[in-house]
Amino acid sequence: MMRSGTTFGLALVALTGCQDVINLDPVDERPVIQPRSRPGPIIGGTLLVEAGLAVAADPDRDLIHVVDLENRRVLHTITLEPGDQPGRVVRGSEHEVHVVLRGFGGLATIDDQEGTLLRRQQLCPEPRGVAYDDAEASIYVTCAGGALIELDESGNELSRTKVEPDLRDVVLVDGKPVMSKFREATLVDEERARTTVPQQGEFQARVAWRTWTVPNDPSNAIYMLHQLSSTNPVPIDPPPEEMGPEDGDLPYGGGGSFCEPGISTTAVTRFETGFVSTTILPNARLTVDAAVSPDGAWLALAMPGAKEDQPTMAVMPNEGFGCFFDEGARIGEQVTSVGFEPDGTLVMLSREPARLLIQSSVPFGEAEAIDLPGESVFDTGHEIFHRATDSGLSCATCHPEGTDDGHVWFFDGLGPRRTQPLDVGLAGTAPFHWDGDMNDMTVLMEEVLAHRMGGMMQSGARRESFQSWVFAQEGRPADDGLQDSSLVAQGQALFASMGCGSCHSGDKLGGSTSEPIRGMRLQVPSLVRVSLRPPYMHDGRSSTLEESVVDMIQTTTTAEVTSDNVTALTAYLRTL
Amino acid sequence: MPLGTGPKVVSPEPVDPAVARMIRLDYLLGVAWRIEPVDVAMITSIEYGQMKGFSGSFHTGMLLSPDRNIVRVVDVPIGLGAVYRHRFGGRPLYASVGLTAGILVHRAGTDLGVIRRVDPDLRAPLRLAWTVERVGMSLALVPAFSFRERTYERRGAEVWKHHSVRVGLVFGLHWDLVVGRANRRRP
Repeated sequence: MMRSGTTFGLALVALTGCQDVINLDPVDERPVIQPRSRPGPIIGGTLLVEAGLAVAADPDRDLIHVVDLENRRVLHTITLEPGDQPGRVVRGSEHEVHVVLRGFGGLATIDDQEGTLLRRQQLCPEPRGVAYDDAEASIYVTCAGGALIELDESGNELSRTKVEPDLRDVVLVDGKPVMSKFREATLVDEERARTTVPQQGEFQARVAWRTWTVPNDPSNAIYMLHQLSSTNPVPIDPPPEEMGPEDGDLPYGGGGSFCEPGISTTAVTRFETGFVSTTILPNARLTVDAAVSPDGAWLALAMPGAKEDQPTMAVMPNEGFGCFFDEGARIGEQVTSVGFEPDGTLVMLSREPARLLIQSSVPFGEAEAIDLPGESVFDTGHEIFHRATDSGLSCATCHPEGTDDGHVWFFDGLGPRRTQPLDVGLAGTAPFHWDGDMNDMTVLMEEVLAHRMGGMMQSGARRESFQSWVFAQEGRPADDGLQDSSLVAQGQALFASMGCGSCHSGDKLGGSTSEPIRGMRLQVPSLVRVSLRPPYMHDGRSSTLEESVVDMIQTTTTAEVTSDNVTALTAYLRTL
Repeated sequence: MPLGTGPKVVSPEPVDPAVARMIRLDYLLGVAWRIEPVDVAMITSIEYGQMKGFSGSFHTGMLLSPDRNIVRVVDVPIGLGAVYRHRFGGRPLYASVGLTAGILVHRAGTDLGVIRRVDPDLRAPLRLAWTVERVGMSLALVPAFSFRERTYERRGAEVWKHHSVRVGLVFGLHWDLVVGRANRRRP
């Protein structure tokens, strides 16, 4: 009796001061689905629309479809090699259509009348944009590494110009190629003259998803669909009194309500000679492609990152008010590309299920669907990565195309932190984040995806699917063959002799250790594809690769900084 | 004889609380502070014992948490204990102090379903009661301790929190169901 009384008393004492913390975050327990071949990140803009005809590239299934829009039927489906990842599509002369093959690293030319593959040629590790010059009968291809390649109709290389790394699209204005830069969201020409998107209040332009021109537009305007990222301080751990009970009150600054921009939002900028105007689209989620109707009145958006119960496309007036209502719009497809026929019919490409949607009347009207061949590529990890959370943000917002947005965020209590790239092969590089404060992917998903962004907690199996999908993202080296090989060899030797490899070690050249630097202990970043992602350092202090090399030499070595050393080292780094 | 005549009414013999026994039932309504926020408190108890002196006590009730947006909480204290009651002079005014032990049943409706918890619960009610005949009014201060601090979190942020200590202030009515002379104590 005495003993049980003592035990009861001790139990009560032990209970005193106990905290009972109940987590109300819902857990997504839906079963995991993974296709045989896991799809890559969404790139968007893989559709060519002409009068009565569409050529749709399917990067998830390595297929190209030629579709008769008038009769609503698929004319041809061309099967490419696994991993070719067809992207941008452009009409060449006659029956030739050129399709960028991002995974293959080249260009495919098809005969859309016969439905045959005419040619498939390698150009650079990561081609992105393509344009066709009718007057010169030449093809321009932009490469992520910074090369602008001009080909003749037979595929012979006419020139290879070194522009700047991270090129995205190429358009022709008065016969001259103008290119966009992906992370920076700027336009650059062959002479490297730049046109930037003006700062929009607290927002800075980032991530040029799509840059295009409208045929027969007398103003010769260039349109750019891009993101806007906040330069204001971003709270990551606000006290409870600053967090309301509503779903929109999230550490990452809320957003997600109608017409309320979060820390990152979508915009379309129109560049004309001497005039630049930007329309902000606050409730457009992860918008990866856009098109303007032939009469210039309407803007169509592909938003594959919208929530599952919301439409992934929208049509809105081309100018003026940037918020749109999407009630009544079709739900169930994941639209990644849009285009208009000359008569104003809107054509949309859905990646999952594979479908073309044809809407004859815009902005309102029923869309007819044409099913495209190919099995389902629904993938749980891919889905978690791309779908918007309650804040309107998805992982792909700051990590577009499974990499990074090049933005330096100012986190409350932490300071400036540049978004880290994901496509360097993250397996085995935990802990994550610059400060190494995320021990593993589980912690990262709970803290960042669920708490800060307002996403659902995920079951163990779904976390595993997400992790394996993210870990599979590994971009190719960004070497476009533009570097002097002797300089590269010299830079590689310097890299070794200066001891850079002691921290930037392993096959990823970093990413697996933390080192003390400037009084902080920071994760050593991988140098894989480093040339693509200025600004550099954890706080983005170095705007160019050269500046970052000087900074590193001065901070971590006793070596002398000479322009020769810097030139050689950067030449080497640009091949990684 | 407009008022008529009838049998003589005999006043009941006054009860001597020192030797009277009773069963008292009460209903009290008030608030309970848990440092912050303030809950609505409804308490009912039944006491059996001496009108002046010791009684056994059983209580239950409901504590309704006011913010019902995300977490809809009802706490039900249930306990047994003893009360010592003291009369102020010859007036029908009593003060009592008690000590009860029991459980606090916590029930919360959330988006994830109903969440239930049970904690040990101690109370030390201090009460002022004014009784006329068999009906009266009570004002009670009820400090209590339920051992565990409870927090609900959503996305890393606290959306509901209650401390393990609470102080209730309740006011209500009571009825003395049975009042009678106690059995004579053996010498």
